[in-house]
Amino acid sequence: MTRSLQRTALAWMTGLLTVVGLVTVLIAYIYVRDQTNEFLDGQLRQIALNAGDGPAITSAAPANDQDPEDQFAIAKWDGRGQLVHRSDAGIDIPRQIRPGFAEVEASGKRWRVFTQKDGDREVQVAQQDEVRAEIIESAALGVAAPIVIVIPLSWIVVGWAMSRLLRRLDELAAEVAAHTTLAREPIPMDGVPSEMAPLVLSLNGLIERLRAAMDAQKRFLADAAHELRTPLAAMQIQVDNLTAEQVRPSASVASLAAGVKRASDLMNHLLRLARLDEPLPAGRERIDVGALLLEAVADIAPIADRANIDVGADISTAVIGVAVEPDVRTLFGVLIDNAVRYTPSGGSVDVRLSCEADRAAVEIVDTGPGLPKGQEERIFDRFFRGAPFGSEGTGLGLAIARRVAERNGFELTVENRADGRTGVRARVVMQAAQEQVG
Amino acid sequence: MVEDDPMIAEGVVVGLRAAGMSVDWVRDGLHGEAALRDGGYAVALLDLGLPGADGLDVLKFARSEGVETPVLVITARDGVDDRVGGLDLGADDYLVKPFEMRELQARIRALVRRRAGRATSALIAGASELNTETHLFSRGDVSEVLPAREFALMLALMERPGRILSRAQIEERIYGWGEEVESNAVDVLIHSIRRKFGRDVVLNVRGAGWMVAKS
Repeated sequence: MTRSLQRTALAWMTGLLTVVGLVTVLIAYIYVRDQTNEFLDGQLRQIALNAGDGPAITSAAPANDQDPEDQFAIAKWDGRGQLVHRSDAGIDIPRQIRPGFAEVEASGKRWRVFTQKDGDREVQVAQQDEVRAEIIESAALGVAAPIVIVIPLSWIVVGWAMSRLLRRLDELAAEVAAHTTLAREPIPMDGVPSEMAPLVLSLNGLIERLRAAMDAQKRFLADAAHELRTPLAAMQIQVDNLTAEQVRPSASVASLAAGVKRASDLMNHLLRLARLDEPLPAGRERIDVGALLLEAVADIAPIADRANIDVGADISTAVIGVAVEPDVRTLFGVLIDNAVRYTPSGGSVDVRLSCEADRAAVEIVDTGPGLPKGQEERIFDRFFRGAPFGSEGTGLGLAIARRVAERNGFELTVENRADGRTGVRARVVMQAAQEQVG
Repeated sequence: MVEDDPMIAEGVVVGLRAAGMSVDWVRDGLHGEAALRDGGYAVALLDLGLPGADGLDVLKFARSEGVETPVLVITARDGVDDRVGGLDLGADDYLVKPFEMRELQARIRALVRRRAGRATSALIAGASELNTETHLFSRGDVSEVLPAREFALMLALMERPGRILSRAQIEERIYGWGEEVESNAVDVLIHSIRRKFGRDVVLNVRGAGWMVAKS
């Protein structure tokens, strides 16, 4: 479960701002309410004390921007309890028995009432509670407004700042992703946020350790294969001597010889695979693809002849590619060797070189049994053998071929023939330039 | 033979003696240097990984002392750099372990022949041998002097064993300037050669040409 830094930061920020906003509003509300009530109560009292016999408010010209609810409702009685003045005939606030402040409900509204009684005169000044509520609320909301604005603004600003940081992090991730197991350089530290530096440093440490482990493994593989050479050579010599001593070669010596040969092949392939994990040589050279292909065909021709396999080569175009020459020799050798190995006696292997625009294609087609059904994906795996019957391959050929293709940027496909006949079609596509012959 | 590993050395001694050669075996670089300096050998087999002195040092020393015995380097190192290094220091040939006895014997014979000055007159590829002076071609038990065009064909092929020559390349070699080329001349020659020496004396790669096998 991964969590977004950006979203987490924004959520906390929003939460904090909301709490601050709510508390501010609450404090503002309480403070403004107390102040407003004090002030307005004072006003009510002042008015009650100083109210004279004025005209009813309805007869005065209304003020432009005054809400009706802002108006005071004033009533006066004389000493006999006779109503002598009422500011608005429509509002009838019951006469209060006790002087001082009171909360009264009248005409469907709540009122704050102040009653002043002194002998022959009784004044009652009332103001709607709603007015107070409005003042308090607008004051509190006024305080909240900046915070309400700050929340989305913080999203934008923090989001922008974070995404700038995170973009650097994305670049870092891309750099790490681009690091293959072959890469030997640490991740550059420039522009890395200081909070991220420990992570990058430990990543670099990991790369270093991984590299050391890989190197050790490769060295071991190379050393092991190398050390096997001497005992294998001794066995080969003894088997050859044994064969030479026999007037008629015996079957057990022949299979012993085959076993030694296979062990040698395996050792050679292991060494080759180990070498292919080394970094590419700096200078890749221009190679004559056709000539290399023809040499690979010539190398296999004696074996194919002994196995009664007809080898054909159609290499009429001259093609120049850029690649590591020994790699290309290995690749062609492995593919042609596989084709001949899996083709039964009387079959044929066809090698073809063609070039279209800047792409050269090498095709090797055999008449063998083809790839086993359902296992086409596995043929490149190390030690996987396509043929169920006594194949003498090392199981490393196509793994080597794929590795060569990868590091030289070739396209390699090995699949069953699509023309209805059984057999395998191996195809290598590479960047190349056609060169006119002659 | 300078070789520190007894398993290999004893096997090689047995194998070479069975092939009619006599072999002296020393186990380290110092004895190797001494043996080379004393001379009297047709060929020296030199292992590179030796105790005392490295095989390449032995080679360098021998060449600096003016020893001209042909040296066949045998090694478990197969890096390209090692190979070039060995040949640069004056090795005459190079064989990587593991190798087949037949291969070793063939290389030794080739070195001996070359040293004897017959290298220019005899071309060898596998079981085939062509004498460029007498035009005698031998394969296995069969030997026969080749007529001119068949000799020209085999000469072209045996100069570079293991390399495919196209029909055009062969025609160029068997016809002189201005001679009219018969369309099936190469096929007729190949057929004739195969009839005398066996089908696999010349290998055909359909669409590409013909070649003789290296070994």
